[in-house]
Amino acid sequence: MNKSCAVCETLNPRRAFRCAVCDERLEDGTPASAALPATAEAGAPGGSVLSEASGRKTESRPLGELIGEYPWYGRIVIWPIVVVLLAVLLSLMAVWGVLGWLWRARWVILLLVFSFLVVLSGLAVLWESSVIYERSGVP
Amino acid sequence: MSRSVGGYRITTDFTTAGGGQCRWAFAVRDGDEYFLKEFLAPTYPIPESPGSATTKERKLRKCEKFEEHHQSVTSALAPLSKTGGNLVTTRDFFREGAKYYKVTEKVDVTSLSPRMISREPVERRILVLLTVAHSLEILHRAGLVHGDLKPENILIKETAKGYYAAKLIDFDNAFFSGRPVPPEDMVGDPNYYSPEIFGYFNGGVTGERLTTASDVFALGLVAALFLTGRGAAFESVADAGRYPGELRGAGADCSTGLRRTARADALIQRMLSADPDERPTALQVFDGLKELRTEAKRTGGWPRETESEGPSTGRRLRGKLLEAAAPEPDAPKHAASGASGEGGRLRGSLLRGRDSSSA
Ligand SMILES: Nc1ncnc2c1ncn2[C@@H]1O[C@H](COP(=O)(O)OP(=O)(O)OP(=O)(O)O)[C@@H](O)[C@H]1O
Repeated sequence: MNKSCAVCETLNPRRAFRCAVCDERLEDGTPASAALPATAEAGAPGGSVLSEASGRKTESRPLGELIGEYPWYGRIVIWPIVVVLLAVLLSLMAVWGVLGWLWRARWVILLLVFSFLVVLSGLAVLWESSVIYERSGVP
Repeated sequence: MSRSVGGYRITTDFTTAGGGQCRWAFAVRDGDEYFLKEFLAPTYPIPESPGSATTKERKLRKCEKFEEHHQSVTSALAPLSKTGGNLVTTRDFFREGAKYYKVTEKVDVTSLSPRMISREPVERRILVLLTVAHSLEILHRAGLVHGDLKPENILIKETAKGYYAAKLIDFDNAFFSGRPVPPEDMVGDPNYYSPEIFGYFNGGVTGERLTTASDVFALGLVAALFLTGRGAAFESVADAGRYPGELRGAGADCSTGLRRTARADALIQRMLSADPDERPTALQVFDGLKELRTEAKRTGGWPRETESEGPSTGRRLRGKLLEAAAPEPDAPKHAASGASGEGGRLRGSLLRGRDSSSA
């Protein structure tokens, strides 16, 4: 689905982040007429919180855009996960000392765990930002 | 009122308001609202219609040409048209009985005259133009010339964020770049014709020279109008006629009304070049406008000394200036036949123009 710009109603490609015509940040997949009544009636250029929130609430957004908007550091939900995983990793390293066979497969295991960690952090960012997004409606 | 045409339920009375060659109404189909246009001409010779066999045959030929033209333009536009964009293209084109109908999505128009647009903050005025230039660029990329670009075919709509966007409508006179219809079949508004279109009517210019650059000329006139509220003014030239395209073609100087906004002035002056090859492309216009808008946003308007000049603030042009391309919103449109009186420069059905076509 194309993204319609809330400022100038230009249809932009689905993956576009900024409008090709007015350079405003695009709200994802908002249909051309969706957020209109609230703002138009209120006569408030710049849009109301209500329309902003309703425009975004149900939409998913590209991960890159979310990360750009919600830097993953300092987010309370992510860090516990990262800490727990690091703890698991450290325990594993401790176990390696005891179990010789693990030592031989250490690089494979390390790689697996790190990949898992990266994927999970990514998911956490996505989940957390969408929750925050829904809750506040305003970045 | 509850009449149906081609599966569309008509929800308003048919009106000719704002239309030259048509009657129009709003309609509904499958819960969606549409704008439905009924062409007054040509009419299809159905068996019950009056007229001799020869007349009917002639009418049929005309209809075939009309259909062919519409189908080719519609199919060229089809890949470009998506609901909700700023290019309001044909959704459906059909005949019912003797009449032809065209359907487009309905636009919730804001009644905002060019003069009112020109009172908006500068960056918003430019945004309106940017949306037009963007639509035009899409059209030109597909090799199509709009052929009837004028404020009446630019519908202004208020957007979700309270800005104004321009919706480009009416592709009835569109043609493929370099391949216009014969001069006698050409319709449009002489106020916005480029010099080469006039040349085409005079026989001095071949159809190949009628390209997308003609739209850029018209856009230049629209841009001056939207930015200043008055439009470009042209120096009068003896025996050159009265329309901007004729005057420019005869070498008339022009004032955009933005003399002290050097960059805006330069851009519009180039758009209004007499030679189509010297005009910027729609893409270049778009880029130029974008730069102007960025500047306007940064400075909060034109730089102070560059506010558009008033009629009394001294124009470069001496002699009698013609306020061209800025008819008052309520002023009667130029009778094309009036133009023919001035030297008979316009030929064929240009002379029928928009005025007599409703007959
Ligand atoms: N999609 C639309 N939604 C709402 N109103 C529209 C739409 N298209 C056109 N109109 C209105 O209908 C009027 C007539 O439409 P249009 O310009 O297509 O007719 P026309 O006969 O081709 O006119 P002209 O000869 O002046 O170009 C316009 O002035 C505009 O106000």
